Amino acid sequence: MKRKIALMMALSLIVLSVLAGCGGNNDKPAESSGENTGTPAPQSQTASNSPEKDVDLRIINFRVEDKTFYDEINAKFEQEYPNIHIKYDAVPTKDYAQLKQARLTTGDVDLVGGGARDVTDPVIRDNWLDISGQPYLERFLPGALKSGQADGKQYLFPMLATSVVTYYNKKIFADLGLSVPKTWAEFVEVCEKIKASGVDPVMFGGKDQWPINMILIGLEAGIVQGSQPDFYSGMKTETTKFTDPAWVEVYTKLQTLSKYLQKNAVGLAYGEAPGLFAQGKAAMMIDGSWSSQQIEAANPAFEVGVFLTPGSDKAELNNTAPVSNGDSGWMIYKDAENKDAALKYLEFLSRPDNYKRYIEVAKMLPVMKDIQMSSPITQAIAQLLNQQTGFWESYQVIGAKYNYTDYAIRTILGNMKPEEAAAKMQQDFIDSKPNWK
Amino acid sequence: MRMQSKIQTGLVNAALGALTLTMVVPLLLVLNVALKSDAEFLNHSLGLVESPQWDNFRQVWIQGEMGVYFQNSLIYAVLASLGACLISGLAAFPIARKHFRGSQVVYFVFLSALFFPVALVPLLYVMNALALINTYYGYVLLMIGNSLSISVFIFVAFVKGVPRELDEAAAIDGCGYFRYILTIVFPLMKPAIATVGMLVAIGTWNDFINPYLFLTDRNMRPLTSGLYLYFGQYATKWNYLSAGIIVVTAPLFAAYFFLQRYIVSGVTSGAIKG
Amino acid sequence: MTRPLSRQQGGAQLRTKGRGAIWPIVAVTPALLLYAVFVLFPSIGNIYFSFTDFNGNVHKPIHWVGLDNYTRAFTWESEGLWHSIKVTFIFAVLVTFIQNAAAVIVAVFLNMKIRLRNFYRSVIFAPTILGVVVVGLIWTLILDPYSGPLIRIVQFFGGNSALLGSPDTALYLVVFVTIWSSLGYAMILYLAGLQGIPEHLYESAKIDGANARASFFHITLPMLRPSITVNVLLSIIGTLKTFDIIVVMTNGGPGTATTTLGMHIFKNLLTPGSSQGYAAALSIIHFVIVLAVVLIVQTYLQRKEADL
Repeated sequence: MKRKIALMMALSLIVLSVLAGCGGNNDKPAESSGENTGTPAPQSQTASNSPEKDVDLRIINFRVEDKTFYDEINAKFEQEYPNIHIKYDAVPTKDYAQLKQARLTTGDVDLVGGGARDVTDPVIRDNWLDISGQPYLERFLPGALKSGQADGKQYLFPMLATSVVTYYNKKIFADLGLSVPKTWAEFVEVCEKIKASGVDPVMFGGKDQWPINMILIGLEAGIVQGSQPDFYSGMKTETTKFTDPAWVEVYTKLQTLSKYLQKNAVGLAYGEAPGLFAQGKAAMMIDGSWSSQQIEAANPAFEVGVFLTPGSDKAELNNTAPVSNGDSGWMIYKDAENKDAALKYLEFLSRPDNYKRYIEVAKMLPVMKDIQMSSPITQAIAQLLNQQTGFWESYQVIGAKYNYTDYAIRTILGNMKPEEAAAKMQQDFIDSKPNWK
Repeated sequence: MRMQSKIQTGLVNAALGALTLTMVVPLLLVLNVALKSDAEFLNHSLGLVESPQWDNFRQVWIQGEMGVYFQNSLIYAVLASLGACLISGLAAFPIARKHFRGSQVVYFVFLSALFFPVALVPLLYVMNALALINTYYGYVLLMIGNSLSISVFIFVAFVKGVPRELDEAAAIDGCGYFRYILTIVFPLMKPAIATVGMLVAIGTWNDFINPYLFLTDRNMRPLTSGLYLYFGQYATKWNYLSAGIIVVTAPLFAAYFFLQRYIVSGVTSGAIKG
Repeated sequence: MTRPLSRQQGGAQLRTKGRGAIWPIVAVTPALLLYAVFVLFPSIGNIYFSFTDFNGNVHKPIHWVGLDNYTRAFTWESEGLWHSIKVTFIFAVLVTFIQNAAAVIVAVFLNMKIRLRNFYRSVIFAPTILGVVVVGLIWTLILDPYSGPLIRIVQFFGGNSALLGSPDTALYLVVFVTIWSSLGYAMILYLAGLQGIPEHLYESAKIDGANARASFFHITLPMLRPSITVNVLLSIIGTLKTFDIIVVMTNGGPGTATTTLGMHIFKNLLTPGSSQGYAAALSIIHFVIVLAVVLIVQTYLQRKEADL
């Protein structure tokens, strides 16, 4: 019996090694298979001590559209630090969670692309290195740094800020003699006039589900946080609820707005909306600041204006701009083999010249002091952001259940009443209490 | 009678023709989109292309660094399908012939893999411990492992149809067990080999996410990796993506076009009869 | 299944006993090893995680939480679970029925003596060589409700729909696309079955005066039973586990209209703050459901086969 087992083992080993041999012939860098076995090998420890030793800096990111910039900057970085070789990987958002999980499990990563969400959850946060005190952090806006902090420590290196605005087609507005609406009533009036002229008032691509939150963010800022800035701090104690008039109002106005979206808006792929809007297929579009890149690309001659979505009936509350500083940034893996290289990389990114180049290419709102934007649309958006508040989702309780995407889409489709949607949201939130952190 | 059969044939042809169109038109549509410029796609996303941008293909090939990846895809697809045929074929013979005690249990164990959910973290642990991560053979073995249940299933079903008299004849000749499987049974299993080989090769060729998870070195990535470039966080570049899709699937279609006689006849000549 | 003839007669056989008895086991070993590495160990790990608070961070201690994750699935998160199970079953039943019925018919057509049959066969099989992501992307383009070709046709006939954005149509469209991409494979397998039916059965039926329909129901279908069993089981397993085509096409929406159980698990894996332990528990529940359904269907189909 023992002999049988031994023989089986031996044979299976042979089979495995034969297969290994087949692959091994094509194995280009022989050292790479050894170095990535996860357990920190002793020789790589020494590697990080003596700077002239060759080091791999492993970076993962979810913003695949930034490839142009990172190709450029990585080449520049490798020129300055010839001993550091960058291994940069980017996969789409949908697959990123898996990639991140895989690399953290095997410890095969140094620099991780992420956002504020990776910092707020304490279990996830535990993965990251505290980068407080790095001198270059002073170049950033204090508000931008804040979203990447927890317990007074800095975990996230912010790359960009985002906001949600209403883009409008200046030509259509001028032709119809319309001016920028300051209150919800004016907004509805504008929509009515546009609709009467035969143009779709608002373009929306809802098929991907999450974009519905953009409308919620736009409406919520004025309605909820405009009048009650501390609304969300009372959620856990139930002193404030989603069933409060403010949130019911958000859903009610969403319902009203649904009449002004183009036909079959919930079936349009999100990525197509900016292009169609830039072709003049609708007069307005409620969308993130990031879409300016696509709008400009789709129609460089397009005259577009922006305003904050006037959710509230009071004009002064509608000056509250929803801003997120935590949509995208960098974290260093706590147990990374090449922390020094990662820190050097962040320092390199934060150099005003390099960072400015990023803002230029990505057409994003900068999070660094004194950075000029080249995109006219982005500049216009930046001027709206004097009075800021966070996206409502950034105040969510970790571990709680929020099914707003589902309810908001049902509201748009007319399958759910605003009160019902608000009640459902509150119900989910309370039900998930055992899971709150 | 003749009239009736003519009408019948006509109807059958009409039905099959409609089905054929349903299969082909979507593929032509992708080609149409792939030839558009950014502006044309945004303005007339689905109208017939006005000024074909053949350059899109070159762009995709360069931006997606597909030259390197193409070779890898080929290696993975070939090795995985050969490996799957060899390993599952070897296993299927003793199971189908019940040549050892508990063979039926082993059979059901293999089939159970069809049901098990994918468990990324434990799988990573195991592969890490065996130093299978970021190696050509690790990824190939993973693809073979993933297809194990279906390949064993197909081979077992097929071996059951191979006459036992052959076994006996071989035994009289004093043929060794392995030699018998490899030199007598395998050649008889050609149709099943065509089926399994094709399934595994297609599955490997079309794999998107696993290469990223298990191959950290980008020089080892397959062709599909290049496509990821066009799914942005917020936007998808449809024209380039479509061009990429064509570049990625063209080799598969070419292989299918040249091999279809063998593949289809292989499958039809009775890979699975239950 | 009768015992191998050779053993019963004690005649010549391949050496599967005594000293030679090891070789069959050796032949199975490589496959078993791969099974252990890529299926068994990960699955055991998954079962273990489902009883813990494992949260994706492998450097934090993992705590045993007993049945907490399962209780969670069946109590305060049960609404999502039951809904997704319902969606999964609708999806699986529709795809399995339509795909197999269509594949049998197409296979019968292609088994007739038509001039273009090789051409038809090749084209109908073609979509099966595309990957799921590619299939999803192609159809996302076609089903665009703003400027896509399908909506034009719908509107031409005076209708309107948000297609993938409408809860009334989204699931059926995903069903259609799934069938589109896998019909060819089922068709080929049935064709294989059809070619195994002896010609003389049809000839003698003709002599008895049976028409085409009668011989289809009395000869073709009964003789195809084994192929039907295999095909139906493969369809059921595949459809009950479906999530990837849904991720690409609808992301589970609109709302939760296309959130199958697999999609539900995928969503839970990605939601920040949602524990992987919980997702593991969901996937174990998923596993049990698929297994139970397959065992029931298999028993039913095999009994029917035996009846004949």
